Amino acid sequence: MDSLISKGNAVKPLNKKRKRGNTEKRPAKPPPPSDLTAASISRTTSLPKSLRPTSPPPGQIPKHSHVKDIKLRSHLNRQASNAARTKALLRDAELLLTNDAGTIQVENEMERTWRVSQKEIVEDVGREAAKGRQEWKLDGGPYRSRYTRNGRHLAIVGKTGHVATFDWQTGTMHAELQLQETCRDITFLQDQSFFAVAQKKYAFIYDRDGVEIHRLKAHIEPTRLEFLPYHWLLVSVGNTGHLKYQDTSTGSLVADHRTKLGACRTMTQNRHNAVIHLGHQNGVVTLWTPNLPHPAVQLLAHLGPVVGLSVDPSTGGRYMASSGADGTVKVWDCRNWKGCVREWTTRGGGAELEWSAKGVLAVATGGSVNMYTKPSIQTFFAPKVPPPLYLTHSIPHRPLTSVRFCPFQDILTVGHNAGLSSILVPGSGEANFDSAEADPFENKKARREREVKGLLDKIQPDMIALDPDFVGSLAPPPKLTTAVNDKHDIPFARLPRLERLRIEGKAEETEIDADADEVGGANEEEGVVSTNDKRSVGEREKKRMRGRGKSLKRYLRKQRKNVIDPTAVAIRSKLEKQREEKRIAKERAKGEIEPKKPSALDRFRRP
Amino acid sequence: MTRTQKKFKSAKKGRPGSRPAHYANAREKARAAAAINDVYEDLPEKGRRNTVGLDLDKHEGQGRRHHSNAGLDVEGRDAERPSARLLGENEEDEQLGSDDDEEIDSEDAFEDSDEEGFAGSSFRRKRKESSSHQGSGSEEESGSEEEGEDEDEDEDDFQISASESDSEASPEALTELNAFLSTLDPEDNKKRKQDEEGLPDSRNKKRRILSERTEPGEESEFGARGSGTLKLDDLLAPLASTSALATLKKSTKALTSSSAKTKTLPAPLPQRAQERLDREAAYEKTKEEVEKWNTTMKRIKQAEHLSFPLQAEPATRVSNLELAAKFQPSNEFESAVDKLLKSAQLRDEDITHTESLKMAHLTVEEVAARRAELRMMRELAFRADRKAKRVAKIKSKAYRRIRKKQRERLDIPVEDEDMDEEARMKAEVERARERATLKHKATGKWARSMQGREGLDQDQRQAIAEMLDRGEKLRRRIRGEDSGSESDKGSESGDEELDEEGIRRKAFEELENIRTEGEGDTSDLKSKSVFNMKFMQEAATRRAREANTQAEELAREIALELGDAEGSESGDITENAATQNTSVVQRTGGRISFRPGASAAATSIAKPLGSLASDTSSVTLQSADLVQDVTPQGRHSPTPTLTAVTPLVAAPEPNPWLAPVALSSRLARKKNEAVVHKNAEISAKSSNKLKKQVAKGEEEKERARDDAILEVEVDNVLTIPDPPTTSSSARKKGKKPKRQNQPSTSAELPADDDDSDVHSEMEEQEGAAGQSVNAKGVKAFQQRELVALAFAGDNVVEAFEEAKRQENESDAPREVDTTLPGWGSWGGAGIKKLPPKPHLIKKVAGIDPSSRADFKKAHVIISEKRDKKAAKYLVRDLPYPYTSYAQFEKSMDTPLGTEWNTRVGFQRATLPRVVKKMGTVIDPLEKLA
Repeated sequence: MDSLISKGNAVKPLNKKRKRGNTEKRPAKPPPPSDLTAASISRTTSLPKSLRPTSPPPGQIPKHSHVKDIKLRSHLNRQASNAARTKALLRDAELLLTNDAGTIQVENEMERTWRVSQKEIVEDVGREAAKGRQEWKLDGGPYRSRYTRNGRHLAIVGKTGHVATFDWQTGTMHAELQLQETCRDITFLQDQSFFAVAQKKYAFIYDRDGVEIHRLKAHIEPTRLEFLPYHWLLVSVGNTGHLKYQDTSTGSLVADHRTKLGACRTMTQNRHNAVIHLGHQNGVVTLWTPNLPHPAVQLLAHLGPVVGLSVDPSTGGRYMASSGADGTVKVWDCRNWKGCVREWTTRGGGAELEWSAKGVLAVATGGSVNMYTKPSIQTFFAPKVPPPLYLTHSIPHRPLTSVRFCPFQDILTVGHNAGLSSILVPGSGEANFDSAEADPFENKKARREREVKGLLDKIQPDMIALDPDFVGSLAPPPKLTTAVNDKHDIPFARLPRLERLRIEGKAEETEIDADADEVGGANEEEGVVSTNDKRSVGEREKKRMRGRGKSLKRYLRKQRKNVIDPTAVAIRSKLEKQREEKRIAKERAKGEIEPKKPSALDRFRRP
Repeated sequence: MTRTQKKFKSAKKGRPGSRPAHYANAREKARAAAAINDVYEDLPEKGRRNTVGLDLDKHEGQGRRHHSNAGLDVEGRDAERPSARLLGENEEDEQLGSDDDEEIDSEDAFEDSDEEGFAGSSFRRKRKESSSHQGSGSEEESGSEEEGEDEDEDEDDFQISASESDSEASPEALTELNAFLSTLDPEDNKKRKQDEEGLPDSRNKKRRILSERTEPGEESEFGARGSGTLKLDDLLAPLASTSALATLKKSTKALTSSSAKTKTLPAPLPQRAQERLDREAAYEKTKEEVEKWNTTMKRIKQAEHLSFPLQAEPATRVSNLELAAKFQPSNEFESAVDKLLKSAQLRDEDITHTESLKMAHLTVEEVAARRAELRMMRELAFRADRKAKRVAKIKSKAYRRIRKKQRERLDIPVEDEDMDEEARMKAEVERARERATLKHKATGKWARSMQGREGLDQDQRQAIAEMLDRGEKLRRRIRGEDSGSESDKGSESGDEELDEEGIRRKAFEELENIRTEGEGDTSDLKSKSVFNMKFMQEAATRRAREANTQAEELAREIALELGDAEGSESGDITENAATQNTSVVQRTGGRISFRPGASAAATSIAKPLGSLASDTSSVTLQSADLVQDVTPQGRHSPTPTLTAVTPLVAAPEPNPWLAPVALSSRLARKKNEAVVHKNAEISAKSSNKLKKQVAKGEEEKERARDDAILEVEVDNVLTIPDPPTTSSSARKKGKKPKRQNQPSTSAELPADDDDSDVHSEMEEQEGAAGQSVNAKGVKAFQQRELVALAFAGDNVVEAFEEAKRQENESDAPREVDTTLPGWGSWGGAGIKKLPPKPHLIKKVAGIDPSSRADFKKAHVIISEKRDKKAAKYLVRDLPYPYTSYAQFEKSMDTPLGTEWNTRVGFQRATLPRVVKKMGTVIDPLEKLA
């Protein structure tokens, strides 16, 4: 047998193949029912026991039956079922009843939540929660404050230079400084171990004990500071109108953008995509990324200076609130910028704004802080009346210079002329913290661990864009309407793969996003809408009736024959020309006339 | 080369065609043959061939034929023979079609010849049987033709048959056919005529060749033909003289017998055909072999996950029992141990054996009892173990202390728990005495039992000796370090006896000591030098006072703990404090500063921040507000001595130098109240409280005034020489009422603008709630418009529109005229300016304004410029397996990271397709039958 095999080259003769067709032998030889070899590898070729699915995937899994390639089809099917399973697992792991928990509810129609005073709230809440109601009497001028990401530590800065950082829950002081010069803003860096202060001339970085670590000479006369925790970027904007990004892990100045809009005193970050929002003196709000030397978006928000800005973290950075010096507060939809969703006027001039983790908007104007809750401020409402008030609290010490919600607590800290006062805003804070992200109860070791992990997971500054999911997605087809000289003479091999597939007829043009309706979420929705639009446009284009210059002909028909109108004459001549061209093209296609060869004299010809 | 040439020649000359019908059939084959001829033969030969073929007479042709065959045989051996024979067969066609030169694929030709080979051979075989009688002469001839060339008998046989078949065609028929053909083909005819001139030469030549041949046997006119059939014996006859004949005959015996039956072997297939058949068979076999793997390979190909080695045995865990059961001593050590165990009969089987032996003697009840006992023991041991473990885990220090004490108590033989102090002491003393005298040495139970015995064995004797020894040791120690041990013991016992009451008593005594000490000190210090100096004395008194206050505090606390009933021993002061405390407790509903926890509150206020009023109560707020305008120095100083606020009872007149520090201006009011209450009697206090309540009920203004009055009073009482407060008191009076109102949001006084703000907000809300629009609202609206106008920048909107227009323009597609003036055109006067030539207009790509994201949104500019730095994070082209954007997008929209997935989901998503264990050999798959 072996000699036989070796003698004949075991190559199937050609005619054999031809003869055979598909008639014989197929059903004659069924695979052996119990193949021991196959059975012996069954364990090692299947998934590990712990990962083996126990139930069919939930919902409708697309079959991909239109895909001809079996390998691709099975790959896509597997992918789809895995995605469905993953989503189901996530749904299982979800926390239940997380929406609007903890807000004050009215029992009858006559009750109003804003009539409830802080005193009553403090009396009614538990002792531990009541500790959040605090008054810090300080005389360093109007104060600004900032919490760490886990809400445990508070940094305060007075205008006259009083700086302090402390753990507000235990009351342990980390550092207290009298800087003896104007201080405009303060922010913690990655955690409580460092903080940056915007001082009279430069920004400075201090460590936890208040020892000056760095003087950031690049940041001249900073007015506002922000820290982007995932990118380790300290961002400052100042009286010079320059927006600067400083990498605090490497120390390098990542970007320096000239805003060209003068001194800027309002800045906030969109925590969803790390885009910096600036409010300017001419009423424009600009959105910046380190990549672009110009604003990604410019928005004419107010007619006067912009005073307050805040982005809603609860909706993934979808809504932005801005306030002008004239006292108007506007809520914008950041996805399409179609005009403000809601607009109202407050008393007492420019308002400081802050959006809590659960979507409570605090507006500090004049001598009071007003809180508004979510559904009403984020739904479109044309009349310029204030939305229903959730809570209000008056603070007599004007001006109110900063409002900050404490993460994971129902506490709002208002900085004012005579220090700071913390009030309780039930339902404003996120109740469930992710200890891998920000742990209010972390110890020294955990803090260190998180710092190292944060450094390892640091995101590059050029990954900041308006759409944070852009990384790894396909580059959008260029919007360029006309190619250079209307010609695409790219050879086949250099075409992009999709184009090549299209030419070969292998591209799946009619792919329908099956589970598009199933997935919610802000970003996907938008994408789906846009694709649908495109499709409908395509269909429209396809179904449009195509006459031969119908409108022109109609025009000619309607003209009176005996009147010689220059436009009609022009149209007639044009039609004639078109007809001639068409005839020539047809003949050329038939091969009756030779296409004219280009001659050297052509260059002198006039069209 | 000469050989082959000869062969082909002979083929042409050979047998003239026998059947006319055959021509038509074999035309194509002839063509093929012609093609071959074309390849191998020269032109002159070609010319000659034509003539020769036609003019051969019968026996010449026959001879030629045989000759050719012989030549072939020599050359080609068995494998090549059939094809050679084929060529021979085709000869007549060649003669016909030699002139028409048709190109035929050599391959085709071969194929055809193959087919023909089969057909020809089979046909021939059939025929041979019918006409075997004819060919006897030719056989002989052929036999004679093979001169000195060594040949097998087998071949010979074949030759014979072949020649027979050939000879069948009659020469007459051949000539007829030739004539007929010549009439058919005029050209051929012509040629033949030409050839006829050269004919005699050729004929002579042939004859000459024939005459040269030497053949055995007679020659007839038809060639070499013997008298009968050629037998093997005939061939062997010449060898009769040689001695080898016998052996030769013997060896040919088999041949002769087989030939007698005239059974001929079939002609082997042509090589190509044979090879093809072989290949096919081999392919079938190989396929069969490979198909056995189909299911396996399919499974591997389609598997989502592979872990190598594929045929690994599932790892089984070997239990200890299994190991023990299978144990065989392998090395010296093990065997030695085993031997020892064996000799001691301690191996498992031995143990079971002995156990069974023992059991054999016992009755059933006994066995049961024994078992029950064993079980009980085991159970108890287990419980004890569990309990010990649980107890060992307890970390509480208090518990440990208690335990320790318990243990100590247990060590002491406890006679009576509720034995009173003196009795216990007595017992202790007795016991100590007993120990000292070692009386107890023979009094124990064990000792007594020992005494009763007569025959003491080794162990018991030893034990008794040990006891005596210990007694001796103890006695020695008593002699050596008597006092130390006793004192230790005493202190210990004292500690033990001290219960809570004792501690308290002790504390009071200590306090008393302190007081007396202080007095003693002062009396002592009168005579001495430095301590006589005034400031020292003052310091001393101060310290003494502090100590006093501390003592009082302590006393009060203790007294508080003791409760009202106790405290008979404590002095008047403590009693006083106690009563005061009780009164405070009764007034819990009142002010925070009077609670026992006030000091704690004060400390919490005194955070290092300088944030002094962290109190949650509105009272604190009020008080804080009251003194808001007080100088910053006062505020700055965090009050570390705020603890002094509460316990000021002992100091009827506080030190004026101490007071300002203690009574920081911010907390003035709170402190004032405290002072008032401290100084007043209980009745006064109650009246004050009543007054407060009344005031609360009254109008706000009145309350404010009341507060202000109170403030003034406080100043008078304290007589603090604090210039800012006193000087600004008048000013404060004016301000106070306003400030007072601030904290209460529900206040009705719209005096200040702050208040008005708050109020208006509320009003607005009220208005919204009540759906009512009043005239004031309209006015406010107008004012707001005005405010908006006032704050509006100059031409903000126009500037923005302009910026947007510029942005649009810079991004839009545009055309650039790249014409160089003076090139490609005529210059000079009177030349009309011509429009630019289209090929010089460069079109720059851009974004159409209508396709921009901010199209038709006047208030926003969204940059459409490409983010070049971010472009590196985009996938530029559709990746391989996917055939549309949607497929790729879908593959990307499920995140993989742990942050967005459950643990299982993450593991499932990141499971590698191939997993191999490090260090294992991956063997090829083995086919299992």
